[in-house]
Amino acid sequence: MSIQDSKIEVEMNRGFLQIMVLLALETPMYGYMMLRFIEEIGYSVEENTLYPMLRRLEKKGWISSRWDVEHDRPKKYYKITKEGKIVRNKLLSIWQIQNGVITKLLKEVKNG
Amino acid sequence: MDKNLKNYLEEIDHYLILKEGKKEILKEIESHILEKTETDFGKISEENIQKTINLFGSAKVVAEKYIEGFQIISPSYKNYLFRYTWILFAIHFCLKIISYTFNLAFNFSPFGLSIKIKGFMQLLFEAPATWIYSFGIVALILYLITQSEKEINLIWPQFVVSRFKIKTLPLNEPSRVKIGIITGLLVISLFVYSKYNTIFFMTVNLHQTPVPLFATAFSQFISLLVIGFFFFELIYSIIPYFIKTYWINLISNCVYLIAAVFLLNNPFKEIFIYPSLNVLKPIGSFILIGIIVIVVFDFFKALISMIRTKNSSREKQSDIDSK
Repeated sequence: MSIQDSKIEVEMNRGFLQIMVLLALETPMYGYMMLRFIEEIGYSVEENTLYPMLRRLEKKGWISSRWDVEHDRPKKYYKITKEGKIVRNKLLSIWQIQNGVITKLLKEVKNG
Repeated sequence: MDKNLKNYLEEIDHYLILKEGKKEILKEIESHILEKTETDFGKISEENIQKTINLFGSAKVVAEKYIEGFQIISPSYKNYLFRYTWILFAIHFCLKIISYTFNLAFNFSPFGLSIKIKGFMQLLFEAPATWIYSFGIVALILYLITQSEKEINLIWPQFVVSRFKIKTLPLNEPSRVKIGIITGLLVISLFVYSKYNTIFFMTVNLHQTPVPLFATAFSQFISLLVIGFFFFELIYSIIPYFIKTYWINLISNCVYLIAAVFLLNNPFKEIFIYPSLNVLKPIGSFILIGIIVIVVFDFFKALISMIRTKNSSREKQSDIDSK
């Protein structure tokens, strides 16, 4: 993949990852757990992309966090907030509209 | 803690420019690296930790991802940075010119700024430092505004420009007539100067040696200055054959301004050959002040014209790009 291609993917990913994380965090998860979960469902995210994004979402108030220090290694668990759920629904409807537009355009392109 | 992991976290800490939450970020990364090492390699060792660190990415890249979107000066203020710098520089440098011309001192105690210019060379050498000072002040203010994260609409003296209806100056067109006249004047003045050591006379009688108007030292100085001006004007008139830019206007205005200020504060004790003519001195000063005002006004006209032209060419370019 060229640098240009990876830049395009980064731009495309930004919104997509947000929706994915907001959907996944219906169940509380910590960073590494989320990475593995995403891998299990057939996608992959770079760890150095996920953690900064979690921080940004938390700053926006869309997710909340708590530290679990009961085990030998402290873990920061994230969970979607009420506000996050509202945003998630809005993002999903935008994504569905955009998806619909692209599907229509693709049909038109194919029909020539 | 493992030495490599400790160094890695310290490096991230170094690159992270965040007001809060740094410790938490580092703790989370540490926990992640340890768990991933254990899961992927089965055993936590120096070598395995290094492998996980390599996968996580360089400390600089990781830190940059956390501070993505952080701006020292907002891109929307970048144009203002130079516009305001030039305005502040103009005000600041004008004060220095006034200080030099009228032997005055200005003190702006809250800012620790004191302006007292004693010599002409000091005035010249302070120009670049004044620009850097102005740039620093404007950059600091824009930095503070950006960091406040408030939506502030900065003013740009566009309203002044439109209120006073300053017309855009036409770019200099090369003129053969002008070049011819100036060349003629330059040749004649050089010839006269080589013969009489001055080009200013009180009386001109072809049958007698002409009487110079000024005292010897000042006469030589002012004659050379005028010859220098003819030479400068000649170059100024020829340049538009090669390049057309407002920079020529700006530079020539600066040269005239410096010369006028220098003349106003001239170091010569005797000016006229006959002391009785000293009554004309205030008239000379009055004319020079008038010239300074006109030159400063012309400088700003050229500056505004340059900014307008740049803006309109930028708009044209963006129109072409959008098409």
